[in-house]
Amino acid sequence: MTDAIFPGGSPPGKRLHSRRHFLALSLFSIAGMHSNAFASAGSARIVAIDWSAAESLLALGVVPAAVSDTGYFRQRMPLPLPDDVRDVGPFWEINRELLADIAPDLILINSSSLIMTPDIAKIARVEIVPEKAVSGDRYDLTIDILRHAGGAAGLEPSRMDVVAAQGLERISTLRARLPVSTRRICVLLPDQTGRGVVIYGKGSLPGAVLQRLGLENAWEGPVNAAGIFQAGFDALFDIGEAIFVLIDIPALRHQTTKALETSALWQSLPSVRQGRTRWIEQFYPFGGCVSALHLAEAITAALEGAGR
Amino acid sequence: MRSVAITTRQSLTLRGNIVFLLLAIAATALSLNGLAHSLPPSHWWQLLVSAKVSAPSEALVFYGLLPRIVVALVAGFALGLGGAVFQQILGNQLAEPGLLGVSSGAGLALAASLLYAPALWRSGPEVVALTGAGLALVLVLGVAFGRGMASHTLILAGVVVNLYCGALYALLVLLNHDFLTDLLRWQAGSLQQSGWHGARMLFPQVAIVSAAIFLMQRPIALLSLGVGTAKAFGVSSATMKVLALACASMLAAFVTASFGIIGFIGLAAPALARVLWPQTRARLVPSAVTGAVLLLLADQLVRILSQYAGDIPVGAAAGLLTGPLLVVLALRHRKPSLHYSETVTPSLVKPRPTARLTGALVFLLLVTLILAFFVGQSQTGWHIVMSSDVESALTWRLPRIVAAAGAGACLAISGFILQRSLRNPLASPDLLGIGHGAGLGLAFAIILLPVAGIWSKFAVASIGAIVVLGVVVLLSWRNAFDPERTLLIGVGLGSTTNALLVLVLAGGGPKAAALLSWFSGSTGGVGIDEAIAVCVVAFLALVSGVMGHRWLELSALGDRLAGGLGVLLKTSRALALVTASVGTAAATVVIGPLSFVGLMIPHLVRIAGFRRMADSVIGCALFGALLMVFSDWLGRNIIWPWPMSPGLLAAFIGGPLLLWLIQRSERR
Repeated sequence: MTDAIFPGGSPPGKRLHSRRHFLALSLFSIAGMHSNAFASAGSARIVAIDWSAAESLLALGVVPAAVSDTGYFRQRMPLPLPDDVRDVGPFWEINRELLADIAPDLILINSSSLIMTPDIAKIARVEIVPEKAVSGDRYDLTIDILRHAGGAAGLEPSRMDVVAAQGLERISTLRARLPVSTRRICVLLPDQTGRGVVIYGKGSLPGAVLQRLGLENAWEGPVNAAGIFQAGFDALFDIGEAIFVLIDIPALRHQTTKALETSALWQSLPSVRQGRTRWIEQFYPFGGCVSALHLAEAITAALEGAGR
Repeated sequence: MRSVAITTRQSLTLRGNIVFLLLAIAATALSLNGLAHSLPPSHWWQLLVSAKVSAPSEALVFYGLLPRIVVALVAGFALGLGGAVFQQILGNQLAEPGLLGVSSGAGLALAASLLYAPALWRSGPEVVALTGAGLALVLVLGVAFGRGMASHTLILAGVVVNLYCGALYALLVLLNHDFLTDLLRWQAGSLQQSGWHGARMLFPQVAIVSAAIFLMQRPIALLSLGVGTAKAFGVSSATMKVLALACASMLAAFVTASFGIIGFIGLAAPALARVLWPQTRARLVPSAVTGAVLLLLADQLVRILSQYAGDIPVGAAAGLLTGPLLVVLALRHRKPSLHYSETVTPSLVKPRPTARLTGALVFLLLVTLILAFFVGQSQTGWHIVMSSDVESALTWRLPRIVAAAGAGACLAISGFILQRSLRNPLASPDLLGIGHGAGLGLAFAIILLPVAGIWSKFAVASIGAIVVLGVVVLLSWRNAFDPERTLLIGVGLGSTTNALLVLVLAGGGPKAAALLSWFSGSTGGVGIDEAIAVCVVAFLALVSGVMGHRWLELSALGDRLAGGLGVLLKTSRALALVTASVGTAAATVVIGPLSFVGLMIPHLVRIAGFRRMADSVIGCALFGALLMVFSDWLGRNIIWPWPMSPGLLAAFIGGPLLLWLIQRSERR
């Protein structure tokens, strides 16, 4: 039974963790090329409530003064957060007193967090992180966020160009490495109760990454505003031939695998019966360029693990 | 020759039958349509006879659709039956089978075991959930244990335990992100099946317990006529009551353990059965059958809708379906009445002067206000505000304190007025759907409006609240604000707005998460303008409540007596409802929908010794403000720099206190 769940033979884990550090290092080395600019940008104190802005700043070598929910950021995001970055509380309710105490020059926030605490504008200049790219493409949005964050931090546009180009270059390397046989992919997050899945469709970060990797997203059904769809296993019967790429959240792994093993409906899905399932490490689905690159690495590795 | 009365009765029964048949036909048609969509009808017989699944489409039907239909029918039956037992025995149309804490107990046990004892969870989530439900039930019965297991006490203890478990649960969810979606989905309840496991589990459980309940049908009917009557017929009322309620609770616990919390069916099915067949004496079977049909229909609608909108909680869908139906039926039908078994027993305690108690509350409130303003955590640890940093405290801290005080007072007064004028201890300010209306406005603004125009949170929430408020008042006006109908209308509207809110949130993605904290009640984003506004409303509500105290006092005696004593029933109820609604709307808009304060403070005030109406209104305002200010202070500092919702903390602090007081007053 375990084979149906982990067709690669062993559960993902260590292997992916080491890659995560490699990824973070490679991006920091990009930023390191401009270490002199880094020092000068250190003067602007930025608080990044929005995580995609925070990761973009870090990729550019700018360390924010504070980020929302640092504990979970460290656990979940594919790049390390320096120890001296302060926690200003969760994104849904920032600690205004602490924020006033930190007295930043600039706050980067998304609009839904701002509506909960509108008067933080009294503390510092507030900039809303881009939420939609002109092209409508989710990967372009990660680059927009990168440019916006860099611009807000007062960096030269050329620096953002370099990081964006490095990311695209890396993705095309990965694209070339991918096996040619199976191109239809469905990225899924199964829930631990064995009732259903979260599917990442058009407009989601995984959807955009699949497209950049030259893969086809097997889910063409409806999605919500974030490109996500929540459904029972029955919805997966209609998508035809596809490889299921399943997202592994370490804290939930045992429950999820047990739920899938005991689900008669899941086990009768063609892709599952034929062992076409792969697991990847968790990622941040609302993230920026680093999250996108991390996801591309993970998907490529999972598909390469197929052996063909 | 037939008399007019018989004709009316027959036509009423006929009309009930027709509505029921239409619902049943719709449910069956949708179910068959779903099956036919996946597998041509010609293959059905073959699949059933051979029970051998080979093609994926057969698997979909056999493991997905069929068990789902079976489970919907069985669970609906169980919830409808349980609801009928509760409403009959407690004589309260707001009672539902989860009332004695079982659903929230099950939820809490599951969440806690998932987080802290995953091995236990893996060995059998159903067992864990049932254990949690059992513990909650034992706690409620233990607290309420006393002379004759008075319904009032049972209800009160049940509500407190429910709110307390709910608060703990919400805390676990907020502090454990990885589990957030899954826990929320569990709480939302879904009949999504992937095999026969759930049906195999549920069917025997429900069959056995239902059989036991049907055996008790006669004593239950006697109990609903009043404890005295039941005793005369030789029914030991306390034992019987506990036994029947425990069985009905078990039904809810079984359903919850397997499929999560499926709200609303247990409340709506008995109500619907009552308005469909107002003349029928037997309540249990009609309610159970209505529950089965209602849940099947709601679930099939969910199945169809989910193809476009993703998974939707079936309880919410049932609300969307039955909410408007309840409103319409409440408006049109003759009085859908429950046999009221227990009249409010006049208190044996003489009204005593409460000036000293009031004085003590004022003093405590002042102390807490000073504490909340001057003491708090900062980057350097615990810190007392000095003249140097008073400006920051004035800007950021003062609005929260003022808002907490105002909102606490508003909600407590509103709850008190509603409970007294509608004569129902379960009537709470969020019942009328005003809170959900405000939430709906906010959700629309956040999710649908363009980024560029950041609307004021308060403006959009107010619009939502005012719309619902207007509808409640308008609809109730036609019934002269008759308590039972007003409650039905409130429940109907509340469930409809709740369902709409769930739908909007389901489509919202990450933006919806920003609303999570608002829903558990938070003062973290309040500005001074809103804080002062809610205090002004609280003051007006206080004045209105004190001035109308004689009306409230007389209204407790029942409509006929009060009318005879010269109370203008329509005017007084209209005034009460508007006061309560405006108070609720103001508080909800500022700090979110809070159940505990509005529902529980009025009871707390009564148990604390306030008897006269005018004193009680003042007591409510003071208690509400005190509890909220203290909870807000605690919430700001306890896990600094993170916030902890004062609404949850209020339930935390107030819950045990209230349980203790209930128990003490029961023993006396």
